[in-house]
Amino acid sequence: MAYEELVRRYQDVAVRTAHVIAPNGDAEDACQEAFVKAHAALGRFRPGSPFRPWLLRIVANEARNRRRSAMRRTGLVLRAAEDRPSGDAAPSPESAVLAGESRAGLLAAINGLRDEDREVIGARYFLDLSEAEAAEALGIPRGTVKSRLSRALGRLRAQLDDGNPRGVTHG
Amino acid sequence: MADRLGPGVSGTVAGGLEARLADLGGAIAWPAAPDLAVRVSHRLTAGSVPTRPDRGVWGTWGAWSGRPLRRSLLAAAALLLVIVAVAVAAGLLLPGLRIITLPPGATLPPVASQLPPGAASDGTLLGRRLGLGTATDLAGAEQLAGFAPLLPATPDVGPPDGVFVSAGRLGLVWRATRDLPETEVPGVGLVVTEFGGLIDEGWYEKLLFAGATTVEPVRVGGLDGYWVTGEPHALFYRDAEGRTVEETRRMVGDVLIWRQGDLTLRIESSLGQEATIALAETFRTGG
Repeated sequence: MAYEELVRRYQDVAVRTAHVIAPNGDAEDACQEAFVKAHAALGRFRPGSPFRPWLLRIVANEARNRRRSAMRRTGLVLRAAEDRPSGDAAPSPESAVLAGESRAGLLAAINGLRDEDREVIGARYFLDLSEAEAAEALGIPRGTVKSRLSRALGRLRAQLDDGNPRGVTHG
Repeated sequence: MADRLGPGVSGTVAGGLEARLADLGGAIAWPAAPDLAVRVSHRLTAGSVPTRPDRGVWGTWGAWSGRPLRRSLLAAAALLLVIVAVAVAAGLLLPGLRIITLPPGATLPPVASQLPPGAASDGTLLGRRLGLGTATDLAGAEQLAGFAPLLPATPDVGPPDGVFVSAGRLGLVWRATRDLPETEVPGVGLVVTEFGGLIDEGWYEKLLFAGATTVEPVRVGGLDGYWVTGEPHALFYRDAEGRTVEETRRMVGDVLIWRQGDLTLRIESSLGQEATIALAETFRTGG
């Protein structure tokens, strides 16, 4: 079944997208539902458009539904697997400069941002979506991606400068 | 900022917040992505809605689905689909046709390139190998498919060598001749597929397995059509009962698809665009 190819091709980025949108939600369930809905919605797909951001928009919507259903924000955290991935080389001079703030601290600051800030940062930096893809996936104009990202980074910098990323839990 | 961020970006803003964010993306413990393909496929095949044994969020949805509000929304959605179909019909697109571009690398079942001895001269056998459906004749095809086949009315192309029907879809095969150069399948010169259905009954879309695939809008005797060349592609369409049907057969050559009356027609050939369109413009009932 060719659609299975599609699912396998995009399931990783779909799960990550769902996790960025709703870290406390059920990313797997959201993605499964999104793939089913995408299949049913193929007829509304614009000719010539890239498939990935269109799919991710459906994924994002499903994840948001689950975020709203969660009714609470506890657990809305992105966990750092470890401060440094195994096998990493010794810290470079650049890394030494960055060492003032740990990854965990940065992650906690991101988790302290409001949803739309975290989403746009996640789309651009964690999912590596282009501006156009992020716009499609998040359902906002491309210009809004730019302005929202700029404001989100500003707020993130402010939090980091305060040295108080709201103490959001992370593991 | 670059349109797409990446490792290179980190280097250009050394020590900056963006570099740290790019670095952080690789350090996050993402949920393991299970193989959703089988589950999704099962749901699509079964047409069922529930996702998991545990109710979870979907359980709430399921409970909600029986409520009057939900039913109203479903009715509105159905109406919207009809509106979309009508809007599509008024535009440049073929009624219901959708084109999707995918990254390269996806695979489809191989076309029947290895044919048994004698197959090249046997249109029925050729068609069977192509997976076009149940062999019949033109009279039987009209009965089984529910519409009168449209046939090329040109002395260069005689009656089809094989006639097939599958789920209301008609498949016609011509052997390769001097006027019908061989396609990607040895012995096959022309394949025509015809789908029934009205514009408010369904829609069609192609899955183009990208790479070198191109889709060019063309005119076929005053009608809108598309000329598709390059990588093989799969075809999905929605039948009159609203089910999405997937045709996994590879196309055997360049494709011309157009809408004529209540039918969508597709020609697969090695004739080239101009000759294929010229051939398409001769199609009429009874040939």
